[in-house]
Amino acid sequence: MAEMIHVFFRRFSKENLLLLLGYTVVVFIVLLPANCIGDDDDDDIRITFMDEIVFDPMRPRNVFGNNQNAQTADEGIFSSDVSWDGTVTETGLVPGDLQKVYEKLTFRRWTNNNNSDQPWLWEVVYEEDDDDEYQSQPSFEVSIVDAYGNNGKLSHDSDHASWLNVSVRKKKVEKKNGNDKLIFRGRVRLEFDISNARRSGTYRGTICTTLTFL
Amino acid sequence: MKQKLKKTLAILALGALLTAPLSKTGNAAVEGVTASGNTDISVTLPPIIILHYISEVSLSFTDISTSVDEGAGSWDIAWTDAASNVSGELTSALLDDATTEPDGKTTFNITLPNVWAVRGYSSSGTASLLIEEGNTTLENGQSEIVLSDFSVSDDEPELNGLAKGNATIGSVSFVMDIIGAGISGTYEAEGAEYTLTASAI
Repeated sequence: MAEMIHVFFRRFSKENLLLLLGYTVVVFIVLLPANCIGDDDDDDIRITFMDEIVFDPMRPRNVFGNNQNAQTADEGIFSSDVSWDGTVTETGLVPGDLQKVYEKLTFRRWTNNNNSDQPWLWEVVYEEDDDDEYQSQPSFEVSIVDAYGNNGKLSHDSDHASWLNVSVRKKKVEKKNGNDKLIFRGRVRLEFDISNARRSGTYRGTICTTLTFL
Repeated sequence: MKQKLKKTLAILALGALLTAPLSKTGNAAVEGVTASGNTDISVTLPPIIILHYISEVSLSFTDISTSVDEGAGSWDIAWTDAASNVSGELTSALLDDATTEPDGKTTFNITLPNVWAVRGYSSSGTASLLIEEGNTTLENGQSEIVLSDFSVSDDEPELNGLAKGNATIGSVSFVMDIIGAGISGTYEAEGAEYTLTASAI
């Protein structure tokens, strides 16, 4: 550092150094607003991700033709010969012959917070008097991971062998103006596949959201 | 003094130059910058039970009608129509056993294999399965057959989710008493002989 200062000292006149200092100050002032994403003191842009989303619980009607928790299937008549020692010679039900009963094994939910009625996963707020150049609509990607690091899954609270497969079906960004602000809000519609669920109760995971400002 | 001022200006200019690139990084952040955040999510599945059942059972005892060769008999017949020196005449004590006969047995332990199945979700992953007796007297005219001691092969079966390929399948057992059955034919009862009830536990 001392050597560099010495070189400056020898190569530049006082006038040139003043000019260089002035130029640098101007560059700082011009570029300062662009460096404010997320954490500047002026609050030109504020990015918020929802801390927690509790989805509306699955209802029986999401997979059955009615909303009953208990379903029955009449499998018809069982006929068999019986020998005089009491042995029944025929076998009744086999898995492949059972009625399906359910209509589907998936249900879908938007990332609306069930507790707060805030219908978004993330929110970007620009101050309206900002330079439009910096008020671009962000694009976003999401991924889902369970507590055990498995991608695309939510796991049961007490049984990691019981899980839901989760996939993203839709993504939506809404734009809103008002109160001297420009607001973008994003949400996703998830599809939960219950084929591998073994238990009732709560399934948990994390949505990892990445916003990209173009 | 002049040299000192010049040195001070040099330090300020160099310091400003060294820090200027930081604000250029901020400018680059506008185009192509990314921001990431995590959101904890949860969803709840309710308890669900699917019970598959057989609504009608028809059992037919195998036909054990048969003929038994009891050997030769001989009778001397007098000219006065009287028989004498008889051998081989049948009496109940002398009858041979048929190979298929129940030998006086009147109660049978019957097991109906694979006549119920359960699947679904519960907090424990299992269900409670109860069997209740209904009208257990089967009638055919004045004759009757009485059923008793109903049980299921598993009263806390695993549910294993909704996929039918993973359903737990089981049997029903009971005792059948035919001592009151005096005639052949079909024996029936009004209403159900047994009822199965599955509950999430």
